[in-house]
Amino acid sequence: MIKTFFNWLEDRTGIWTLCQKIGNRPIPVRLMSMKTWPAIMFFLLFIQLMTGFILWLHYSPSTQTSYESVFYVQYYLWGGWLLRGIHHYSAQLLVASAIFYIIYQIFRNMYRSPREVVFWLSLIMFFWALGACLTGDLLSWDQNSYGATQVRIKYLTQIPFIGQYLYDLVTAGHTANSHTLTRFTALHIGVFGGGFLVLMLIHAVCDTRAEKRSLLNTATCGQKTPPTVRWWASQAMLNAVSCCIMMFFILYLVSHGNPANLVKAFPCEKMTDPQNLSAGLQYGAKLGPPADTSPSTSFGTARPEWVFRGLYQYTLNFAGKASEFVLIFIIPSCALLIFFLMPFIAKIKFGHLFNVLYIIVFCAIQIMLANTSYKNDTADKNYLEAQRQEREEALRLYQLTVRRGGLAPEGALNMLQSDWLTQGPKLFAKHCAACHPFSPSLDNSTVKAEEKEIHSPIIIGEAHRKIIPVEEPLAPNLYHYPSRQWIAGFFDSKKITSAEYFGNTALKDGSMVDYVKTSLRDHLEDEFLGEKGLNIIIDTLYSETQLSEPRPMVAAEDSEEFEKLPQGIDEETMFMFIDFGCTECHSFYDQKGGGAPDLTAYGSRNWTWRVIADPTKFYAQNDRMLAYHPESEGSDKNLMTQKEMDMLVKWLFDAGTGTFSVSSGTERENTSAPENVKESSPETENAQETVTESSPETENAPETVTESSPETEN
Amino acid sequence: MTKNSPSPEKMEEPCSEKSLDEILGPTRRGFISQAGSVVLAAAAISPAVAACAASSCNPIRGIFKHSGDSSANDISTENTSDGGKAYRVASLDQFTENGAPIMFSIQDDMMDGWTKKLNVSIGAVWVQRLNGNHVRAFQALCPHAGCPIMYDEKTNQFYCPCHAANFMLDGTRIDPVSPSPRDMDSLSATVTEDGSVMVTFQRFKEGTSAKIAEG
Repeated sequence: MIKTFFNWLEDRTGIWTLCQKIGNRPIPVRLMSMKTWPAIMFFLLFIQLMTGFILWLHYSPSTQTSYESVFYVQYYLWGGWLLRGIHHYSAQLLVASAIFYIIYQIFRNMYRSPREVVFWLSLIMFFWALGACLTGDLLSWDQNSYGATQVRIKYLTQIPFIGQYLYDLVTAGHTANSHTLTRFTALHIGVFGGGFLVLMLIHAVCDTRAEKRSLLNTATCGQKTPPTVRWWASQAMLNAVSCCIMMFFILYLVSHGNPANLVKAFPCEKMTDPQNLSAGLQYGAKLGPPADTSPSTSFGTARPEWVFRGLYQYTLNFAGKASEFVLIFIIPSCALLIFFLMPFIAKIKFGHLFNVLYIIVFCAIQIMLANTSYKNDTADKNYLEAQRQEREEALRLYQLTVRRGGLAPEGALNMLQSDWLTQGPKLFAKHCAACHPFSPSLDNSTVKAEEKEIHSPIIIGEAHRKIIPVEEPLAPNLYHYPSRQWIAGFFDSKKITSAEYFGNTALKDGSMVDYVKTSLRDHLEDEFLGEKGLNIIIDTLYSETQLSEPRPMVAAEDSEEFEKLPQGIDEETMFMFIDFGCTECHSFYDQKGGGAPDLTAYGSRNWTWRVIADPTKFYAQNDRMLAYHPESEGSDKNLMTQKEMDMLVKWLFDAGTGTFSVSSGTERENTSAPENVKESSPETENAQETVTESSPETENAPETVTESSPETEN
Repeated sequence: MTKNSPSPEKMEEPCSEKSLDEILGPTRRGFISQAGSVVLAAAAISPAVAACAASSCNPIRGIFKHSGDSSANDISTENTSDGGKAYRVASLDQFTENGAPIMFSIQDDMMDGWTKKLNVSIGAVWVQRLNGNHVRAFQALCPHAGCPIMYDEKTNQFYCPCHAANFMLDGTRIDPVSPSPRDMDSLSATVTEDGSVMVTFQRFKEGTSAKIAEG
């Protein structure tokens, strides 16, 4: 019955004859190793088409959703990171295999008559693989892919006459946009994916034909035929072994050198489970933060793919010495044209030798240039910093989505742009760091050591406190603001005149410094006031920094002197403020002072917000600081919006105080913690307090997750 | 093709394809190399197949899990014993006693692909006040094919516009041969002390005569 069916099928389709024909192809033994390269390429292409199709099922090309859908695949889709990783790395290996195949053909003298077309096809396949990489790179729409592609396609405009039109056709807009994404998706899948398959089939036909012809040539001319084997299953066996090796390479790359860990990492965790981290964070292809298309964002990490590294470095070397059109289009095109002419060059005397030398020199130059480029990058501080920042932002986004239980409808970019931990240091660097340093110590060497300590683990929790050093500080260092240690520093005559505090400001010669140098000494020697009294003042001021709003005035029942006292402040404390002379200049609740800053709720969030908004209301002697939000929201005079102010203040207070981290590196975090504790133990106390204060946000996350889980399941 | 190509073609003529086979001798194929090729090729492709299979099976992952495996996350604190979740839909003052039923949408967080939408409509219920503080509620979707059921004020009946199923106000089918395999799906509804109407919202499998809750 089955036999009858197969006979019928064979009769109608001839499929068995075709299989036999393919299987019985004679292959000369000496060419088996060369013939395995197209097989490897076909294998890799097959993987590309297969994984690509599944990725296509999950992909949504637009600036609003591209990154988000890829983000979902990378971190939340079951096995998605593996899928994306295999697709990405097998593409790289496909390009590499195409290169090897070309080199192999030249070295084995197998590119000339009757194999010219086969050779040309292999060259075209190489370009097709590059095209697939270039179009595929943009699709993830992260900052790096956007930046790199934008620069790349901008080069099109260098082509005379038609350049601008080409560019407009490719981008369908002024810069890369949603239309570009839909175009690149169609090109990537239809033209480069499908087209590659067609190319491979044509190549197979031409290759078989050329092989048979040269074998027949020798056989019928009465020469001794070289030893041959049949494709099935000798060549097939070799091909299968090579494909296994290739797959091992792919898995090696996907796992960043740890294929054994892949099995462990496979069960990609559920979106709703904040305890389990996605394997996509550790393995697979890189995914940076979402593309920010605003022109103010730097392309700091935009680099070409490894195949183009040589070309990239070469254009850098010759930049400005010739027009970019000549550098990027004419010269490389000529260099590549030689490859197409090689079958003809081989006909000339020593032509083959020239070809072999040419490819050796060509590859050597490429490798040298690429090597220089990579070396330059590893030494480039700005590049490394930009890369680190991108990695941090990508991780932070993952952390935010875990807390929220999914991406926000406004999109990934918006989530990062309204995140205090991401924007805080940026706002500080932009608005404050011209004068204020934010560094544990103004001594550069110690800063560097600590920077390394913090940055080495791949972690970004609230425990992370970014250091923003300033070369020539003009205003107080805010790193320890508003800790007890920071407040105590004001009463140390050495510290207050140092660069950490008023050393570089007009306040250096102000009345506070004067007071610390003179009156305070007398007070400290006084037996009623003394060190103990000063500690009471420092403790009280520190407790003021923890207030969300000023203490209410309550009737002082035990007190003889005061009718009313701020809640939680006793008579003795109030006397200290008066006896130490604080209230002569500073106001403190109902004790009205002179022009010095109000100490009511001093250093609290609200106080800080208002100082940044308009410092002239607090510091009469303020010499430089700008008012960042002096008027109501929406005014042109405001240098920061209300939201930005909120994010900056929250960052000043909360950075480095939380414990939630998104990484398996919690142990690493712990190892770096003791140092911080030693440095600023009062601050860590402060930290624990703030954690409980800010816990609603932290603890809300699992709660909302549990609430909504039935919907997630549906 | 270059100039060289026609010449071998001419030379090919005396030899048929069979003669090439004869020159090369008979083919011998070992079982090991044949089986080995198949096994190795399968091994080479298997990781990619695994990744593809896993990612495409993501929506039906649940079937691979044991029923007792569901984590604590899946059961929210507000869940009632029969699996639904109680929502406050309205206050009792909005109803008149034995008045017309009113439709309310159930608001909750919802996953839309990779996006978590907060407080959006995830379903609808019909709620009617009976005598005193008694209320009854129905799932608004028709048990037949999931079309939203409407209320007809003139006839004082529920009806489904898709396939013309009619229901009494108590949810029972009117026609003896109704498209709907079962009566409207009632939901448990209570009135709290402060006068809020709480409805335990659930979805049920469509097209079956038995009322089976959907997980």
